[in-house]
Amino acid sequence: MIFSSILFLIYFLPVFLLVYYITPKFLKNVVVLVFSIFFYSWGAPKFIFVILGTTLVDFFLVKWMYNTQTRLYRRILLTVSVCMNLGLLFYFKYSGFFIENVDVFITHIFHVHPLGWTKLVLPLGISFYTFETITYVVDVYRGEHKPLDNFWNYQLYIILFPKLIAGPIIRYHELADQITDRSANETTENRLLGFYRFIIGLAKKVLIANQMGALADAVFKTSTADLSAYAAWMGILAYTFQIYFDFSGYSDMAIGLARMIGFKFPENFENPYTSQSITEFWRRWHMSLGRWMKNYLYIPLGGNRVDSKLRLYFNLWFVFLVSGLWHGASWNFVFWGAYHGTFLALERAFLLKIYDKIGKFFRTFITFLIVIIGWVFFRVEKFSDAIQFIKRMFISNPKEYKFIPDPAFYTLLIIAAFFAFFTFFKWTQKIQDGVFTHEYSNLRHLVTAFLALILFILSVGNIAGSGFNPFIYFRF
Amino acid sequence: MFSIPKILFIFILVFLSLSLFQRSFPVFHEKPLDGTFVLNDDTTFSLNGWFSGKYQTHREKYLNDHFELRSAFIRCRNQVDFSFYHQFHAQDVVEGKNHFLFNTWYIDTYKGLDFIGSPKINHIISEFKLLQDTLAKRNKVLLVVFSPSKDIYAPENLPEGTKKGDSTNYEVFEKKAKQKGLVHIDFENYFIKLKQTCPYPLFPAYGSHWSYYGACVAGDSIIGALEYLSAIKIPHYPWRNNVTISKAEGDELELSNELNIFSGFPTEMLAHPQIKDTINLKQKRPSILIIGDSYILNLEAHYDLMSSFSSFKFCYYYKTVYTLGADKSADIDSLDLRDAINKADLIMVESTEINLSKIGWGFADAACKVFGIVPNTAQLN
Repeated sequence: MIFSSILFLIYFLPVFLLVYYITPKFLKNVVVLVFSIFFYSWGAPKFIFVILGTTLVDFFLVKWMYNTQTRLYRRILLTVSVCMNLGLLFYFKYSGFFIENVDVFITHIFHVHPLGWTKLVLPLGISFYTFETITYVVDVYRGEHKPLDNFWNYQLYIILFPKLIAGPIIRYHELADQITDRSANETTENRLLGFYRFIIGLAKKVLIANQMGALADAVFKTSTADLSAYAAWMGILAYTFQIYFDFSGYSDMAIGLARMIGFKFPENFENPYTSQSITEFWRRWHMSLGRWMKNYLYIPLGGNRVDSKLRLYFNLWFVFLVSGLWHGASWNFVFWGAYHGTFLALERAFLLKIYDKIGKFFRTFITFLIVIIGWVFFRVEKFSDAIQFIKRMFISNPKEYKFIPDPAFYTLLIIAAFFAFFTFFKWTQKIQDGVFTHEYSNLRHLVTAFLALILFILSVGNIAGSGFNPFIYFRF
Repeated sequence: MFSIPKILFIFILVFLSLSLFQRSFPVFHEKPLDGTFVLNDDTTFSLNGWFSGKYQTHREKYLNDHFELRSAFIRCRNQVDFSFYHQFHAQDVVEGKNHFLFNTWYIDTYKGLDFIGSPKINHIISEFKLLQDTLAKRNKVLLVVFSPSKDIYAPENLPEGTKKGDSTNYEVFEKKAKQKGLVHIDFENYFIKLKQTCPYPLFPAYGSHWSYYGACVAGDSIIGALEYLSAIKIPHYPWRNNVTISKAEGDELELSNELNIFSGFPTEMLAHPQIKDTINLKQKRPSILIIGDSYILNLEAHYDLMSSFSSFKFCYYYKTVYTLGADKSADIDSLDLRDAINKADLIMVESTEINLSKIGWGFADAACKVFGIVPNTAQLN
């Protein structure tokens, strides 16, 4: 089930909210858990049992680890838990990719029959789910938080539906206390603010990302030989805004829904396209993944505290390589990760010093350009096709592809760019801060609620009236 | 006790639940969506269906198509897209000049995109001529009718840049019909001539078929032609002195209705003949068999064509049979064509421009077979 679906908006959400609000406090977690299980089972009716089973094993392993005094045993139990979860991710997500590449190798070198592999259906949100189970065991191992006493509470942390299938990735210690007691957050103010945030996300996804996606799809479906430079630019710009409004919209919906039921989720995006370097971009884009990678991979690798600069650059590059692979079992994602990792290393080496001299506008422009080129590798699966597409962006094509976008495209492109770059100036950043942090007066509530309901009507109308409603981040 | 935020939040919850409430307590009158679309059917629950995910897929599609207030949500979306971007959410409607709406099929035909070629048209016309002559020997009248179309009636209002094709089905059908001496009515040409003198529009700006007034003009012409050809007096409604001018309605708005918006086009005033119950149904009337398309349905609805005949059988696209006095329509396979032709005094085959390539929809071949007509090559050339 996805948030931007009729099933969710018209049936699941109102029923869930009504049941949740009328349920006494001590049963609220049961309501959330039951609805979360139904939410997940709807899309992954078989895999739900795998989640329930592995979380049960994990829960007792971690409890055992917590109660064990011997360091070696604790390490063994940590390793077992991490291996079990990563093994599950590897089996479902990477085994096909791995064997495919092994097959290429062995058939070329040893001239033997390929091993072959039946393609598996990727369970919804497995990448998010796995990373969260790892934070649980590692956070307890590191002593950052004690494990949960109750299995169902642990189950709720893992399967909590607002963040289950597309994040944000929430570290265990960030959510642990809210599972047992979040009464301080359960205010009408929070419910209203959560609703506004949910609607902002829904509108970002349905009214902007989907429209951008339709044009991006049309351009990327066209052979590069037939593309004009203008069409290629429009296509990749549309994709650049699609992926941002799609994913940040989903995160907004998750954060808003959680807030409506008293949970406080960490932010996942902070105007990433206004970044002045790739280093900054990754502090603003998919922040919860960045934090996870830093805490559970980069720091264990040695982080910044390494002997040589070469090792530091390698650590950075490796983390981004893994980050790319996390996005999908395909070489284009690996390359995309390595591409960003390379720029990060180059920035550490010398680029940031050059950036200091060229001014904010050019820094932002160059960063945005690097990000856009990166999205080509992310979007186009075959490396050679991606190179062809990039060539087409910069070399004019005598063959004219008739570029006729939807009448709404240019308006929405301008709206998308306006909001994506809104915080470029300090004074606009202040306006945004005011919108999200200042206290709401009654009048402001009335106006915002009115606008939110209009956006809700338009979003539902768009979903109901259009079959085009894909979610990019469900592949990961 | 109840602060504004609390009341507001309760209102939001109620608003979110409106569709669910409407399901149990239908408070709002929901105007159904116009146009043609296929809605997904429901599915039944089974464990196998659930675990394979098929149940969820089907059920979600069904809910997407059948939730309460869906039409209102979609109309809101359509209205915004229309008002801001002049974007239509109807697959086969385009806007021409002066707010004239056109069905895209007619524009394709106007461009000659569906032209089937002179030899084929010659064959079709020859076959009808042969059938017409054969039936005439049996004292049956076969009248072929080319219904008018909006693109030919109002080409000045077609979308900018629409160019007429070098050859179109209508032009060649008309030319061949004249050459072969096929008895027919060419409403395309007739309506163009009438357009100069007629005080009221024969086609509405927002409809696809003729206006109610246009239908009545055509109805009179058809009755007149049938009377002349059969020498049988056919009663029909005297409507000409009973015309009121009022807003376009019903079918006259079929294309703008298909856009499913609340408002957007200027109101069009059209002439609406008042058909009153003045036909003496006890009077002797001929029987008729008609093969045709939606123009006949339209004619029946606005001119009450059926009342002019004692027996009325209408084969819609020669696929579905509507019979005067029958409760239900029937499939064409159930029609005894020999019997139907024998019982009919008059036979009429009608088609509009976009259907000309298939005129009769197999009737001519079937009728030739019934009467043992085997056309030779010379007859068909």
